[in-house]
Amino acid sequence: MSKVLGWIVSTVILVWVAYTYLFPSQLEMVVDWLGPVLGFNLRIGLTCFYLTFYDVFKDFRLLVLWFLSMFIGGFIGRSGKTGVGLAFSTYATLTAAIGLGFLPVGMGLGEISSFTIPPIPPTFSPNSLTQIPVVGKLLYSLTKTQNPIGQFNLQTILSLIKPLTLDLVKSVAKTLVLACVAGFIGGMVGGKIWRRV
Amino acid sequence: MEKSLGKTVIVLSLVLVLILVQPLTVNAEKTKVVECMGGTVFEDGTTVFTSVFLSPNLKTIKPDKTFENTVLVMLVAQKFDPKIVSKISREIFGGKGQRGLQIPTLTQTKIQPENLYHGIPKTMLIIIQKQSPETNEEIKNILLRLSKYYEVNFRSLISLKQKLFSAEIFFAAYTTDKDYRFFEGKLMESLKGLDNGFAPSVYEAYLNGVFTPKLKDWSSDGTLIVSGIINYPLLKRVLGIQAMMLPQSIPKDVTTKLLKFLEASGLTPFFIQLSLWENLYHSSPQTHTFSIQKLLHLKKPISASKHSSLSIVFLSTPTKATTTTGLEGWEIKGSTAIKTLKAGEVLKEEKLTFNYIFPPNISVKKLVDKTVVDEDSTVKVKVEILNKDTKPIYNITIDDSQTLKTYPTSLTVVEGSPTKKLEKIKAGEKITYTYIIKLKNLGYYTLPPAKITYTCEQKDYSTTTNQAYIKVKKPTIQKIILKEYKLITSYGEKTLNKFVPGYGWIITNLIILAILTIIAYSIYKSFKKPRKTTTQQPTQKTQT
Repeated sequence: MSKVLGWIVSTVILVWVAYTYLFPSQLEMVVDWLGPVLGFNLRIGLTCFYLTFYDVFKDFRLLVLWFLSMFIGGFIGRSGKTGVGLAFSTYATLTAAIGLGFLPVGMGLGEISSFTIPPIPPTFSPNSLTQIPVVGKLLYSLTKTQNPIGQFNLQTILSLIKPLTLDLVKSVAKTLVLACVAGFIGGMVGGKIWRRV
Repeated sequence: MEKSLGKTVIVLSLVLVLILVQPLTVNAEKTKVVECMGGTVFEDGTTVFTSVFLSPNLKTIKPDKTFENTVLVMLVAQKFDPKIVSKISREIFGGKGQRGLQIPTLTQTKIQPENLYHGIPKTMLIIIQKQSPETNEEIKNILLRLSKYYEVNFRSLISLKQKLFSAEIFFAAYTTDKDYRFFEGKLMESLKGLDNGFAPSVYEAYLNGVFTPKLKDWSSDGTLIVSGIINYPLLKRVLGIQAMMLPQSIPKDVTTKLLKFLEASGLTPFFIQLSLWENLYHSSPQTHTFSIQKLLHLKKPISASKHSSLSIVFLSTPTKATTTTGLEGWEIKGSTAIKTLKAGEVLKEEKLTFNYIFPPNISVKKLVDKTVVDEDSTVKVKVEILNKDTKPIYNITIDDSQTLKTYPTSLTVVEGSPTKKLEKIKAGEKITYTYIIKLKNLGYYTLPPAKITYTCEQKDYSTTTNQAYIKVKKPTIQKIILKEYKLITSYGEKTLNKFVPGYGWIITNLIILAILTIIAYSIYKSFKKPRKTTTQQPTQKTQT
């Protein structure tokens, strides 16, 4: 059951700290804009998006957060193997939570009459969108392509998807490796200390 | 004796000459050097007047740069709203961004990007065309396409002639924010990319925090938005920006330091001053006078720039207005009066009169009592109408229902109504109408303008208020958990009440408590029991 506790603790720490203190300003603008329609779920979803898809090696605070939370999770789990397992399960939970966060979007679209896109707030800067992973890359690729929308062929779509997927895989791999290492170290340290206690 | 008298006369006359000449030299120094100036009077009485002044000690400047800055200033000055600045993206204003973001050319035309500039201040779309025989016809087609696309008519505003080229500026006016938003969306779709545009430098300055529109540089009788622009390649090297717009509120010593720094680098600062006035004309009297000197508070004459072959002064009145002028050198083209100044020519007192009935002088405002609130908080929305005119207005309708339509799921009216009818507002009277709203979700709420319709002297008018903004703060994690818990229990209660009426709430809470106890106990138990590690297993085996 220590595995469950480790998983709960690390997930809660990650979400709580990222939601309260580390939420990026580019995503804050999106929440400001769509929040009135989608509610707090959107912020939770975007928090999980931030945790899972932002490059940990480009955001030092995110790197520290992942390391510490997974270390604590592994420490509670009391073994290196459990620590690594916890890293995967926490990452999977957060990825799933992105979808849960956007659940009202789907529900809202179901009732077309009640779903309206609110006006863009004055604090919103389209340029900042380019700094959001995936979205930024997609916008960049879209603006780079010479084909107007509606005339996409397979080659254009592939040229759009390829760099996107590559970027995505890279940042996911980085986060997972970091989480596994932190979980493993935490587990080893935890195992030794718990045994002595 | 005669010699000494002669000497005294010479000295005295020299002194006299010096006394007479000195103020003239001072005056000559103080004479404003204008590159271009012009005013547009809109049908609602709003007047925008832009003047571009160059520093008088300006020695060398490329005509092209002067033109670009003139146009830029006009572009920025036209109904420029600081709130919009944050929305203005590099893409909207054109130009290639530093981050390598390239905008595709959506229409495959022969037009080279450098021949066409466009930008969107709040209510204007301005197309500036550098004329050349090869592109004239093509530009006409583009304008035709754009007018169809945006459903507006472009009017030629002004022709500029420079040593290197001539240009024509076209504009289309929009009146409400709603139109603007509609137009902005369309523009984003069909925007052509520009390389080497002039606007990115301003945007760059904004990004770098040099141009801070939030500081609000409004003058008492209108608006003075920017007090100067410095344009230097050196700035690009030192600060990474090409142009600096210095708001009036920047402390003078900062400007002085900056100027000294530039001068120490062996460069003469290039200054442009621009001014903007608004809301000058209203229903009475019907005959209006447009005085450039009065508008600019100028006591000295204005001199045309030596750096461009021609400078222009223009005034554009509403289409149906009758503009008259008995002054020399003014040419009336439809409802636009234009005066062309030759390089260095002096512009003296100029007054133009025109006849037009403008709407009454009514001031409308939309206000909120709180701008930052928590979730599920209530906010008072106030609509104020002040009749500043000499005549009363009748059959007033306040329609603020658009607010509810904008946020149908997250905003509710808890007290009062967003619509109201009033019989009469006397001259000088102020009416305030209030209703209370509740905001359910987090985010930034843009309350759209309220529409006010009224009758004055048997003529119907309508006007809109400003937008109001409310920020709803993010809820804490604890609050979210509590909210979710309540949601789960209420769902459980509803379901269980079908089977065990009246006990749903108790059973739901008991189930949750039981689950939590089991989890807590299991965790406690697992911690009490020492974990078997891989290193311990072989030892146990040997013992058995």
